[in-house]
Amino acid sequence: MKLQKIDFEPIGRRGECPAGQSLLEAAHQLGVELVSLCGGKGTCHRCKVQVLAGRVSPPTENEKGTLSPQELKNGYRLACETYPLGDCKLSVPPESLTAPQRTQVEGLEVAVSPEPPVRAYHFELPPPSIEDMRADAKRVLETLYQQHRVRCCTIDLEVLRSLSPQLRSGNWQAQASIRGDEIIAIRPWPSRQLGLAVDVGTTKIAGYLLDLDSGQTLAAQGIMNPQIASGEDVISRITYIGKSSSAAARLQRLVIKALNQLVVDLCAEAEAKTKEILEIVVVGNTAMHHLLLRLPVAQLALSPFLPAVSKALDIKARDLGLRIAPGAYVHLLPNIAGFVGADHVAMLLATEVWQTGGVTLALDIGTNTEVALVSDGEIASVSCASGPAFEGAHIKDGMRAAPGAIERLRLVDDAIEYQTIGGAPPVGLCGSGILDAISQLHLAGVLDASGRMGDHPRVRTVGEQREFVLVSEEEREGWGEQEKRPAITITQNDVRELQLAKGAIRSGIQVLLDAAGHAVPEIEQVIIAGAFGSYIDVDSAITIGMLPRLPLCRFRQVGNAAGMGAKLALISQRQRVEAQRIANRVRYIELTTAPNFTQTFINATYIGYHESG
Amino acid sequence: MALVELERDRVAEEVKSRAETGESPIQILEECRRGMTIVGERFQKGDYFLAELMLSGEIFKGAMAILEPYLAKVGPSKPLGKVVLATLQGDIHDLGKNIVAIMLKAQGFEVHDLGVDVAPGLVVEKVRETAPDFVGFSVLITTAFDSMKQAAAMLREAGLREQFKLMIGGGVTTTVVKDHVGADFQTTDATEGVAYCLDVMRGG
Repeated sequence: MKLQKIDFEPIGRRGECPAGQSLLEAAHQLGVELVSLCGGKGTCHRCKVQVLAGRVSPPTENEKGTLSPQELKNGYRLACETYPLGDCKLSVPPESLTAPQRTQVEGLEVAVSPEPPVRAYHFELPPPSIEDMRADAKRVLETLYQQHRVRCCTIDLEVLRSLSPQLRSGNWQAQASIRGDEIIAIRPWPSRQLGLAVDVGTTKIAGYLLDLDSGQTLAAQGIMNPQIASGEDVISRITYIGKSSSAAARLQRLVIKALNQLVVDLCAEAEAKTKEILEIVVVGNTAMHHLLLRLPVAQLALSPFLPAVSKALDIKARDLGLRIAPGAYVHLLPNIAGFVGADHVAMLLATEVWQTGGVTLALDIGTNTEVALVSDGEIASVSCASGPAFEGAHIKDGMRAAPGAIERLRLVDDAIEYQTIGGAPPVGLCGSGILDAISQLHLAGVLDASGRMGDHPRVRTVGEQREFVLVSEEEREGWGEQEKRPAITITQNDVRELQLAKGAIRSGIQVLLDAAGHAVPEIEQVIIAGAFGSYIDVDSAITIGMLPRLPLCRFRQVGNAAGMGAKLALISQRQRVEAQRIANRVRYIELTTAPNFTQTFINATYIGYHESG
Repeated sequence: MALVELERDRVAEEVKSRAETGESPIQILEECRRGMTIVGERFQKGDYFLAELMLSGEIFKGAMAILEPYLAKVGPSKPLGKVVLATLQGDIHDLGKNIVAIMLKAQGFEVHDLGVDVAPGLVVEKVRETAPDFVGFSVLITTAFDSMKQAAAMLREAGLREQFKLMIGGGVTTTVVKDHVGADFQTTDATEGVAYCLDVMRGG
């Protein structure tokens, strides 16, 4: 039977499906939860997908009747009536999915007294008369000085445009929101001042809506970064931009659109208006930062990997197309290097590691894993190319953390016990599940230290490749699945992919330790940040030698610390100053130039690798 | 075979005792090379990984050191062929290139490894100086493709391009990249690259 590769983005689930299957059937076979209320009869029109690449059957009369000409032009189709004619890449709009994709927004909370960059002042103007003919703006500025001793010199143009009628209708009373020496909003007194903190990740975007004056978080949401359809990792996105002159603008539009949607959703959740948002703080890796601002990125991915700009920036939100209060600013935290960005600075800020006395290791695990070692008042950081294996890519049955992903796994005698996200029937493995699987297979002696797969009743050879069966064809039937589905397995290649990923991280840790002259047992605290890091079983990560062998009590999984850092910088000017100080202090080490890096890396690929302890 | 099983001490002992008893050093060397070929095959299949491959390279190097005085007595040995390797400007990753270098050396090639972040001009100089049979570019980051294209163009301009086969390798390369660069051969698999060199030298 002819097989066709079908790729569902942005959730990143892909696989081979027999020709003659509709896109809806393919989606369900691959565990993509496309909505289909009518069961594929073409009547509910809910299974809308967008064809990004590849050839498919022409639109049916039914589709021409239900989809707008614009939608058809943009490749939108009903999955139940569309048949792929070869390999295809599709984008699934969020509304076509039944279950929400898991994205992480919770993070640790640090108490910081708000000291917002935007402050509200109530003022009452003396009404103008023939004796007092000062211009409205001048009247406001002088009154603010008289009543509050705040000296402003500028008023945002958009504010000026509505100032005069507003003062008159408000009976010469209002509230001015002042940022630095600029009035960025004038609204009726009292109005609340809201702010948005955003962590723009390569895969996910986490947003938090805060009250600037109380520092309270009103709403939090995570969404996928829509740029993912143009490349899963930073490098492929940069390559995509190099292909055409309009690509950079397109990627910027995508992320701005997503941020605007996030603003609307967060405001809906908190019963707020988007115009109440007076400040945004954005953190992200250097590439996401540059893509958001449409700064040049080609040099980021070429040695010596330099950012176009590294210091913190303040930009009018409207200049980026962000729809919040018209006078509001976006503040972008500083970055450190091409592969160590503002998200790393924010993580260091939130975890306060630079203030601890002892040796502390802090890592944010992802496609790129940034690791910092804080010791003797020094901070050194590296970026490890851990690759997308933890996101489920390049792993035969890998997938992102979505319903049906095996997230925990134990080998008990010869049987597998596992837990899936949402308790759904298993469809694949997400990062934490892959980690558990390798660790369990190693403990059971199926994988030796070199990563070679030995014999076991559940090991079989398919083609040239050995694989360990986690959920067999028959076991999948046990979930009441009508059709026969292929087994979920871990292949020898998957093991190799994971060895490369974890070897990259472990060698990064080792290079930092060597550079600072410390040994593993001296590490007093290991902080694991990031969405993936908070779901992993630390014990498994130690077993395979990804994390150093230390007592479990020294590890802290803190969730989205970068998001937390963004929140802190949103509500506190002092924290912004601190962030810049951290960025200035971090010593960036380029891994590949470390002495004997190749050997360090190769050693670190061993399963169960543990240097000195 | 001890080399295939990566038994370092046994390989050294065996090579030493067999050479001392007057066995042809060329034959012993051939046997070691066959061992390295098998290690390469195991790597390709996924049975061996990076550490085993690097170790085999070291064991082979040790065996060569023992055999050298004996080989010298037999007469000057000519390399099978010459290869210039480089990771070009913009890219600093060299693991793949190092693996290819080990395997090529094991098969009797003279390897000139220019290292990482190499300016295309340096490649031209080296090619002029050594007159290699092959030039190999290793690449890990897609953004460095243009450096390869530039180096190939400079070699063409210098009138050197017809004298050797140009190979490119790395996990991100494809046949499209090969055509873009104007290379003769492309692979994502180190053992395939070595096999290609052997084929060409055998007139294949």
